[in-house]
Amino acid sequence: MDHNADLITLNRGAAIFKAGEAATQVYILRSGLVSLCITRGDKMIELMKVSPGQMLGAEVLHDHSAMTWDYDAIASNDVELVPIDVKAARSWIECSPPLLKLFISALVAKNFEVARETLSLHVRQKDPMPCSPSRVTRLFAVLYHAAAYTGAEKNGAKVVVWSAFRKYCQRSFLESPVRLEQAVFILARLGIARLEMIPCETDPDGPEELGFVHFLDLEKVRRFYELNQKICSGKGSETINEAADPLYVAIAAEIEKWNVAGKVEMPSHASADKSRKAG
Amino acid sequence: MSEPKKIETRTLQTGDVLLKPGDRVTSVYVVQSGRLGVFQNRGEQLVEITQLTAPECLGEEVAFGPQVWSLQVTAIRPTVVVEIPASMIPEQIKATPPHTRDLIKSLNERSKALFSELRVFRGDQGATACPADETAKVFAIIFHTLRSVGQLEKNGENESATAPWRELLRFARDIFQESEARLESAVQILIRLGYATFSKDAAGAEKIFVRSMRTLEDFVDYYGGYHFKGGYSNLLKTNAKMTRITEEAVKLANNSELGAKVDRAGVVYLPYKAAIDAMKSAIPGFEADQLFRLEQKGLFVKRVATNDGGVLSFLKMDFEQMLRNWTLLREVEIWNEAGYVQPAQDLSVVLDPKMERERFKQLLAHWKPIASAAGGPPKIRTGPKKMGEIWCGVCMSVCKPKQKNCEVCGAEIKSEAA
Repeated sequence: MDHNADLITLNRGAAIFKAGEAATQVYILRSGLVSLCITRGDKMIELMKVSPGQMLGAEVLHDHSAMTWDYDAIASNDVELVPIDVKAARSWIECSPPLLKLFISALVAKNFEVARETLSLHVRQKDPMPCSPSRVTRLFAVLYHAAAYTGAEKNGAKVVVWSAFRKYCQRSFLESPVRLEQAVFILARLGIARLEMIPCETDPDGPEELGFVHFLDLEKVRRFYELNQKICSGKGSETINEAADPLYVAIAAEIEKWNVAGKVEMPSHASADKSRKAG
Repeated sequence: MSEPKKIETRTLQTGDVLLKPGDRVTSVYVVQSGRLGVFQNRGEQLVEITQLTAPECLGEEVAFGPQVWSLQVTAIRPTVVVEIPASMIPEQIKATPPHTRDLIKSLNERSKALFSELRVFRGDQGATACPADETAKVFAIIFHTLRSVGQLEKNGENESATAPWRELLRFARDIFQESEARLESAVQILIRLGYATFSKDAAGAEKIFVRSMRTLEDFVDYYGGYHFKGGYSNLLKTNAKMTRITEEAVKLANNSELGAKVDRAGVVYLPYKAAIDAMKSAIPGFEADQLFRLEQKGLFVKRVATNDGGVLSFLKMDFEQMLRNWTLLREVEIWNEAGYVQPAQDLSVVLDPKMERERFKQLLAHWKPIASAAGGPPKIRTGPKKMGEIWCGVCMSVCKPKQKNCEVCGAEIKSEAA
């Protein structure tokens, strides 16, 4: 069988596949360069390149379940590539002599792990999304656990001193203070937390700053991160029910707005406090 | 390194070096169980490039041409690797149809490119096995996960925790996105220092017991506090001499014969001359000013002049706490120097080689053979081992009694019938 007969040519800028599409083929790049990119808003961010002679999308050979692409593959210049059906590629491997099969499967496994590690490092470095889906569970789990442990019980709420809380989360969990603040704004907008503003210590005439956070219903934060974790890792009808949970829908919608706008507006009660005191 | 003639399985203990820079690679290694660390030596720093687990491979490029190895590969857990002589693979590749050959070659090219990119990335980061940024985090995650999935028990001021081991690992990985390998190594340190114990009950449930949650929390506060403040990096390095002086100071604080007095706040008062003399006799080469140099490590000693030679005072509790922090910190330093944590005595329970072997079997089982190159299906078992059956230790094919080498993969048959 001459698989090179299937050689396809694409012009610069053409999409070979897009994120979210079913991964049914892998490609051997014969000439040209392919960019692996993620799309954020109207921007396309290049993560890495695939050069001639290399296989494009080899990760899908490792996973036996149906997979979708996590990134876009765009021709950086005119490219020639040979598409290979994933099922066919797997059957070629399966038909190989046992020793060779052991070798190829080990190579496929290594390629999968190294690709995952390298891509995640690139995404972490280049992704401008303020709260990408991979960060959500951890961010809200940190909020919950740090508040549950360091917060003081007051009128049925857990109250934390913001400056100390932020520092604790950063030092103990390596969580970004800006991201934490935005997540707290989301909880305040949804009535799960209340923000208490205080005069600025260094400039009493300056605008007030966040002094205390009152977590009115911390259990909701726990439920959200647990739901999010299940939804991110799970499949099937149970996940669909969980994704329809009103609490999940509300917080997820706020996170989506945050990712689109780049920031979360301070909730109205806190900004009203701020302007009243300023007046 | 001379090329082996046949496929062998090799067992490596934690710390065993499989390959070092300059080695000529003569085999492809496939990890069967355990974990290998791939490191780059950068002067005194050992940068961790990646970790390999079953069924990943190493040295695969040798199948396509000679290779001189430039990294260090160390077993960071007890590991079993299958060693395939490099000369065996090209022959087999040559015998495959052109499309399979193309697939293998392009896969190898991609793997090579990805690995070199990862190497540059990790090298730029200078990431050690437990990077400074992550040190407080890994212990904080153990602390908070224990609080979340474990049972806490108050015993006076001390609080202990017991948690199911697998649940602890799962929670830390899924919720806090902490690397299982790093968490496991940190727990091994706690076990080594006697801060934690590991047990397996009659039903086979594995549990971790942490004696003092306070010790964990104090270390997180100490490391996180100094590391993120900036300008205090010196405080996060242990010094054998300073540790010895601090130990001796704590000993003297308990020595009432020397005239040590402790007030209600825990401040120890010692007669200056007697204390310095006692330290001089206990620590060779000790000079009085060294006691005051403890300040550089965050410990404060005060000297007040009196008519009878002066009084030394310090907060005993701080000294004891700092000693505990330094003990833990020293273990983290050794971890970063070696790239692995030497397992605690009872760690065999933590690392279940049987389980990892089972995982590998499962992975192999997924690659169901349709037909071998010879046309017939190779006899690879996927079900449980039957009574009296002999399996090849490498490819798990069924072998005949008294057979010396496996018909399928050529490995030496060592296993006895079940």
